[in-house]
Amino acid sequence: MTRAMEPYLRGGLKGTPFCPGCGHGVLLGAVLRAVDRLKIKREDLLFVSGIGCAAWIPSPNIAADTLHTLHGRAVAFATGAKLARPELTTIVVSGDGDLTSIGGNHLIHAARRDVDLTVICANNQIYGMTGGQTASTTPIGAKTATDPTGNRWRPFDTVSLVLSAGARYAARFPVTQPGRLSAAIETALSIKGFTFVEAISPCPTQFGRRNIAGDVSKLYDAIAALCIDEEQARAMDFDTRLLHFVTGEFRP
Amino acid sequence: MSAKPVSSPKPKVLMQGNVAAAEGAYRAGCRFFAGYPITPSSEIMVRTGELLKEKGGTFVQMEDEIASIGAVIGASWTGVKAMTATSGPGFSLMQECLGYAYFTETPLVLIDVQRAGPATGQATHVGQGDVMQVRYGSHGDVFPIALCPWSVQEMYDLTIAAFNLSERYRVPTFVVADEAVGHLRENVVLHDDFEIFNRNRSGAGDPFGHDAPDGVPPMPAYGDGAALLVTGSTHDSRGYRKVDDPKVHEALVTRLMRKTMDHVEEIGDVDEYMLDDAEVAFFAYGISARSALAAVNRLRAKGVRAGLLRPRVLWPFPAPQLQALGARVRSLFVPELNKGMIAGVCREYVTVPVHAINQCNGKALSPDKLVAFVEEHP
Amino acid sequence: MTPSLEALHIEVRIAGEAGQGVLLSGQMLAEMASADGYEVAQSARYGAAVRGGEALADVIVSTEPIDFPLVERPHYLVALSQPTYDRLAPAQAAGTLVIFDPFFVKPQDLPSIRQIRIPATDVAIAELGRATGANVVALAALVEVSSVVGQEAAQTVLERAENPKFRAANRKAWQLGQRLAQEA
Repeated sequence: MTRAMEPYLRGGLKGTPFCPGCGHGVLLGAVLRAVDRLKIKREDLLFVSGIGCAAWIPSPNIAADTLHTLHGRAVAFATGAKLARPELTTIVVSGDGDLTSIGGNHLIHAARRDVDLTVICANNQIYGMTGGQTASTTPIGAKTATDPTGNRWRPFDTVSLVLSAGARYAARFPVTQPGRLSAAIETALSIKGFTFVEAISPCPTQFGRRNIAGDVSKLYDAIAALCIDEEQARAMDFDTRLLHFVTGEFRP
Repeated sequence: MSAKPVSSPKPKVLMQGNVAAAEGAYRAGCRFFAGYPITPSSEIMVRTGELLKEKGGTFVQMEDEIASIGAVIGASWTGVKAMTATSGPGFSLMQECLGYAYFTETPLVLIDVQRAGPATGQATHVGQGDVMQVRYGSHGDVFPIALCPWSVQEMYDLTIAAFNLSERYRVPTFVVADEAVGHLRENVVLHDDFEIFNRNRSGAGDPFGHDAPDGVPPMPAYGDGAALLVTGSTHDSRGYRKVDDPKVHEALVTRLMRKTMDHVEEIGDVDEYMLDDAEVAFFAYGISARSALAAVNRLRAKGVRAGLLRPRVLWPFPAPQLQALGARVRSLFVPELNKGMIAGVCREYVTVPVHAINQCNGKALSPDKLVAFVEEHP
Repeated sequence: MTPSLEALHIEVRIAGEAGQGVLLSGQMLAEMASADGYEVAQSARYGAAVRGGEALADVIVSTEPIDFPLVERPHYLVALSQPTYDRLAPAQAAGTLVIFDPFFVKPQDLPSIRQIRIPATDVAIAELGRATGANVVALAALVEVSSVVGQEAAQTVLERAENPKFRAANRKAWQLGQRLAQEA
């Protein structure tokens, strides 16, 4: 992240706790740049997160109000805060397991209610903090601590999930496209109502070492190669599409 | 102190207990309610929703009880007095978030209208099986405050008291009612002359600081410009995570314990009835205390010197009052709609025999059953 | 309050099936007693289903503060279903007055208690054009025979209904119940 974002960061922090090669630092920068472009004052911002590596993106790094909640509950806590104090721009930043597995019900209900939240899902396709277990976003065939021979269950398409539940806007971009990712977050924040951005954020420590031979750059190459646009996705059958990341901006 | 009249001498309005709790909550300043329907507490949600919609405030029916208590915690940090209401199964679902509320010192009020459990049990029938869950439901050490109303009047009064205690100590505070009292209709006076306590919202001092003499740090709200760090992980006085520092964890858990336990006298509230010359005494709460009250009157009519000690505040436990009583009476009778949860606690504080009178059939204890039991155990 | 120098403590139980207006009758009686200046405790016992299953509405009316607020020994039992009648009526203490609706209840021979036949449902169908007013007819009969609350207080509560149609229907149902009680 550039020095330009320093005013948004708490002083005295000795860097982020993320592993070398983790995408979450890039995502933090993308969020702050979007906030900066929109000129949202720090005292009007509330960041809510759950439990997991991604939940540490805002807390304690961002020098605004933060609510680091329980595993899965970020959206529920954020709903209460937003309804009680609507003037606060309330942003949820958390991981794929947190938001779509243990917290999946809160996510779809917040979308249904059209609560004016922007939910940013850092999708690393695995449970990172707890040691690399299968997530509800792990691709079929990917090796994890709990599926060492390869995951047999299909992953959620989180964008389709929240759109069908009522989201006004959903986007998906990898951290390898930080400009487009940040622009999508900016768009999401500009829309009143429930909006959602999935950031594909590689986890070298838990996902990469089990699935991609070579150094961290190979993992980034692999992620980039799996990113397709809507037109490419339409040409694929359903099962093939599920092995890719359909990037872009989506509206109901 | 003598027993307050069970019904008011100046009847004003006939009201259901659950509705009275909703009225009390609004009177205490509650302006946010998130909840999920569950028998036998749903009337609280319905009436609070009406009040907040009519008079101003936020009401939201959430997708489940976990979301409800989560929304209440989020709302409380915006500076608003917030509440939910539930019953056994929903209360169980809320326990993790309640531990979070305790550890983050989030003021909130939860009204638990107890029904016959465990599991789904008998949803429309009375039980008192949550009195340990309210005390020990969360993992880790927690020292919450719990009040037990025995009348419609106290559904109103103690809900107000619960908000005051919660705001004063930054502790989640529980009104542990039961189906019988929650669904009871009695005459009630909706007093308007209560002192209302509001949290210290000043930015002076750290929001999780250890400096305040009473252990209660100030609590700014979201949007106040305090750049609050709120986390359920172990945290220092400013809210920074300290997940490996043994001293910080010990100091935090200890301060939170002392916030409640050093103020037992200030928080505590017991009602004494006919205890001056009592030779035997009941220790009872909620609807079972009404059974005991009638039993005392009937025993007295038969010449038995019986009395009643009734905790309005069950947790922290009224140990000093019970110990003093234990030194005066021959034996203690503890009627409960569970298998002896509070009787067991009483035995820790008194040496005289403690007779547990237990019933788990979805009905309140009949006063005659208590009278007979006392007569059989002279 | 109904003038009386004596301490008064009356327990009433209205028993029937959920959906018959049993709980509403109990609430109305409690409102009437409260309006009459009495101490009141009203409770209910019912199952989890909204329709069907046993429903009991209990009311205690007293000049004194009520220590135990649930009905233990009803002085009056209004039985609006056969199962509740069969279960409760034979178990009543001597002297209890049982009011039953013959539309639902075939009475037993119970010498130790007094029984009054109030055809509330038949009259409601014939005179009100619908069975749903039967609960108010039965309540009026109970109040007429028991004087548990004063007529003035009863009227006050009946007139509280916001919908003028309900007020008129209540008034008529009340008169029918009074007449049935006088004829019984």
